[in-house]
Amino acid sequence: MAREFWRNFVNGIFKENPVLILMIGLCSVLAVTTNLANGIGMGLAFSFVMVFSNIFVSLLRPVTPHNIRIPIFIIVIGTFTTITDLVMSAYLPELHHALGIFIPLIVVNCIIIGRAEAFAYRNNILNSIADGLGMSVGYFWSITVLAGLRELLGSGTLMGIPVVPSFFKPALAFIMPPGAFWGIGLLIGILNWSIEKVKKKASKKEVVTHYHT
Amino acid sequence: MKEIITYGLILMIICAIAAGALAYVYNQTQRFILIQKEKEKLQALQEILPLAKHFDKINNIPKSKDKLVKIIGIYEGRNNNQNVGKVFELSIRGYSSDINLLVGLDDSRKITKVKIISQKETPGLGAEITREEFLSQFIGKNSPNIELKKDIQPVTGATISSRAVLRAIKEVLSQ
Amino acid sequence: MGILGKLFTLFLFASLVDNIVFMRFLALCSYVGMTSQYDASMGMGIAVTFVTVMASIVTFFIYYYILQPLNLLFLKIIAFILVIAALVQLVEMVIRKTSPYLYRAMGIYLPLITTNCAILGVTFINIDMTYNLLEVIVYSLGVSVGYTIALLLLAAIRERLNFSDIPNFWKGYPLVFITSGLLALVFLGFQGMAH
Repeated sequence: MAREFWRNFVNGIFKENPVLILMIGLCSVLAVTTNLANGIGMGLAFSFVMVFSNIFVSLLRPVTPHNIRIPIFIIVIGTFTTITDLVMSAYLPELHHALGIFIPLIVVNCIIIGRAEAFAYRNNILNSIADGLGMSVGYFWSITVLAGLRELLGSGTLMGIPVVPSFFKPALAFIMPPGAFWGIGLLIGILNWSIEKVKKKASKKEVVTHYHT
Repeated sequence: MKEIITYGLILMIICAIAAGALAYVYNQTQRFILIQKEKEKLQALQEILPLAKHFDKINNIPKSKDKLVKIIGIYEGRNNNQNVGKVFELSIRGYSSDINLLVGLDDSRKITKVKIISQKETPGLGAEITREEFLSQFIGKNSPNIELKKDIQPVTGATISSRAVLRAIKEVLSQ
Repeated sequence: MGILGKLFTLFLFASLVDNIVFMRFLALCSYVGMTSQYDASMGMGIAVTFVTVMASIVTFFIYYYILQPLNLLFLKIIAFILVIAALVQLVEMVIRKTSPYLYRAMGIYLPLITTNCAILGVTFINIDMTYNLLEVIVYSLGVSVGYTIALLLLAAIRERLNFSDIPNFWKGYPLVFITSGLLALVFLGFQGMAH
């Protein structure tokens, strides 16, 4: 049981990372990552909706007829999105303003609706929680790394605190729209490159052991 | 046919539960936002007129003499039933947006402080009107005969935004 | 500037200056997913244009004539997404029955459109900017044209890139994003031209 929970949890972090491997839910990742604080805020808002939608989709399985499952998913996700939107506008007005339209747009985030259909609708609550948490961690680390990278290169700060030596001139383009595309292209490229390396190493080892036997 | 009715019922029940939950959250957060806004307003008013302990909103707002300036509200500052001045909340069209500002007037009809509450002027140019270097020039003025460039140094490259603020101040002083 | 001039400026603003893909980062899933072939991009563009304009008009009436008078603004998100989902279903049924040609051109893209965030995004922007009905139509049309332009540009470039020799790990998505970054740089040049 614990092992199954762990396996479902880890799945979303690297192997099926929603952002960097499956390439879904990209809009918010590119749009709000002009600084690290926004990235963290968006990551938390997403995680809340992701985990609770998974829980409720899984809970509602017995009363969800197959033919109308999609509208039901949408209502569940929409409810939690609206709750996030309302709570943030009250308690974190500045962050809410900075993230703008991308909070309500969580409702059409392909990751959440995709996991509802592919996982939560077919699994029990515990595994759905594991899957939701794993996907959230996968999303969260991708968005914060990209946001940190862009803030560092684009304005030379992290969380608004200057961290680079004075000879480094920040490249403004990185906090403007082109930088978002370059940043994520770079991240995916590096990830592909390291996967390729790991695979090569593994295949070499295989060859060696083959010789020995 | 039976299926459609069942589906409709299930969807309706889920929708009703969702709407109920949202209505509850909405009421709670809205109340918090209202309280917060009141607090922020009081804080802003106190910043403009530090002598006042509490403020009374004046009900019949006089018509503005300058057509371009809109008076949104006037608050009378009091300290132990003694009148210590007024705060004007005004709105005026700037270069690319409406500028909302608070202007404090003490009991000898001198400007105590000017504060821009909201504006969406050009960043780096018109938006510089929020700076203290520009706004502090108005402090102590008591006659509406003030002119740009002579009495008040406008923000570089933003004459229209600066003039808008000046018009609002003139309106207050001529009230 | 007369009303026509104003609307034309809004159209240019929506399609080029504030391009939905390059400046607002909406609809990226379909932007990277549907652009490996030029024809598919065209079909997607037509389908999105159709649904965006219709959804904008319908949600306009729902917001100002149902949600606002009944004080139910907190149901905006759910109401809008359900309307779009229903609309997509309806459009699919209607064109399957009436026009086999149109169905062949955009039929397979329609189910994908429900979760296309550009459409929901545009309906929210319409409300945020308090556009009137005429502006809503022009704005949503402009956005869709901008979206189609973005898709066609990338699709055309990608067809060429297939023949270029690049390191393995840059192939596919990384290169798509780097190319998009350069396209975004071009669109950044329109900034400040209309607002």
